Amino acid sequence: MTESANTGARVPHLDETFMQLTIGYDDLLRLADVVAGTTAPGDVPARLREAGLVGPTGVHPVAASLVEVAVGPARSVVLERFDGATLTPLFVAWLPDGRATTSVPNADRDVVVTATELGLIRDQLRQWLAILDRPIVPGRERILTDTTVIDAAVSASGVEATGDPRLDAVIAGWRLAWRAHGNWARREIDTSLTVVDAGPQGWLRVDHPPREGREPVPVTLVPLTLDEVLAQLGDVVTGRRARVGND
Amino acid sequence: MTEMAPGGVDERQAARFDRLVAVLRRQHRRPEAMAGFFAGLGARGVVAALSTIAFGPSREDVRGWDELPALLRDGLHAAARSPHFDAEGFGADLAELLAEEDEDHRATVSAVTAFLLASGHYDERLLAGWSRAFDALTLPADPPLTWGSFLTRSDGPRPWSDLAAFVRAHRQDAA
Repeated sequence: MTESANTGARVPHLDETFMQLTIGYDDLLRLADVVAGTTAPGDVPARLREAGLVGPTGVHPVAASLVEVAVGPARSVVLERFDGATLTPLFVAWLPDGRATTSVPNADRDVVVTATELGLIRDQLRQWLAILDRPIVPGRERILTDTTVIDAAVSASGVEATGDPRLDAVIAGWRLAWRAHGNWARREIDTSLTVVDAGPQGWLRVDHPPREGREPVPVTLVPLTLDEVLAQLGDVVTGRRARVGND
Repeated sequence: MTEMAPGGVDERQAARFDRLVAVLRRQHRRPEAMAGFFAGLGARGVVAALSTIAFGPSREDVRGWDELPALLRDGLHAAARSPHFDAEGFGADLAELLAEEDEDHRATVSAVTAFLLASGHYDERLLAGWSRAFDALTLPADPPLTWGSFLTRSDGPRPWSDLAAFVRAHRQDAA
C-alpha cells in the first residue's frame, strides 16, 4: 500500500482504555469528514476500516468523540515550549460541554489525540510548562532589551554577560520559554502569551512590537507572579478576555 | 593474453555483456528477478551502467548493446513492483547522487534520472523516494530557531500548524 507523505500512521490506533487516538493528520481530517457526514464511511481508506475506526454506520463512537473535539472545538489553543534546542507543541481543544483533548505530534509525524476535561487542563498545563510554586527573588523589575542582545547572550554555546545586571540575572536562571495562542472557532488568534521561565528569577512575560522578519526588535520582559502567570495563561485557554467581533 | 575486440573491449568482457543483455531480455519483466538484480546493482551502479552506455563509445561487439538502456529502465520498473524491493530507498539513493560536487557528474546523473523516471513509467514508490530526497537537497533549510525568534514569533509555521489552521477555519456546527 502506498501512503502519501502526510498520511502519517501506517496503522492508525485507538486506545479505548486511555481514550487516545494515534493517527496521521490527513486521516484525522478524513474521520472528521465522516463524523460531519460529508464523507460516506465506505469512502475512507481501507486502513481506517481495518483499524476499526470506521464501520458501516460511521466512526467508532470513542474515536468520533475525540475527533469531534480535536477538529471541531469551540476554542483551541496552541502551546509551544522551547528549551533552546527543541520546540515541543501541545494543541488543546475544548467544547462548552467540558470535553477537551490534547494533541501532540509523535516521532512518526502522526498526531496523538488524548481525551481530557476542561477542568483538568489547568493542572495539565501547569505540569507541562513547569509552572510550580518555588522561591522567587524579590524586587524584580521590568527589563528592556532586544532580540539581538538575547540571541547573543543565550545560545547553544552558553551564556554571555550583557552588561545589564538585571538581565544577566535573568539569563543566569534562564530555563525555558513557552508561548500560547488561543482562538475561538472560525476566528483568528485573539489572545497570546509568551513567557520566559528564569528559574529563581521567576516568570517574565515577553512584550514586543510586531516583527516582520529577522530584524532586531525591542523586547520588554515583565515580571509575573505565579498567580499572574496562571491567570494570563487561563485567559488564553478560556478566551474569557478575548474581544471578538460580530462578523 | 586476452585478445582485444575492435571497440577496445576484451572478448571476455563482451561475453559478459552479451550474457547480461540475454538475462535482461528474458527477465526484465519479472519483478522478483529484477528486485534482486537492482538491489545488488544499486542506484550508483545503474547510473554508472547507463552513463557508460549513453556517453561511452558504441560497443558493436556486444549483441543488443543499444537495447540495454531500455532493458535496464524496464527492469527497474519491474523491480519496483516487487514488495521485496525498496523502491523508495532506491529513488532516494538516486536523488542523493545529485549532491555530488562534480558538475559533469551531476549532469550525467540528471540525464540518467530523467531517462529512468520520466519516460512514461511512473512507479509511485520510486518517485516518492526520489521526490523527498530531492526536496531535502534543494529546498532551503529553515533558519535555526533562536531564543529571539521564538520569543517574538518570527520563526515561521511549524508542521503542527496545519492542524491549528484547519481548526481555526473549521467548525462542525452542532445544529
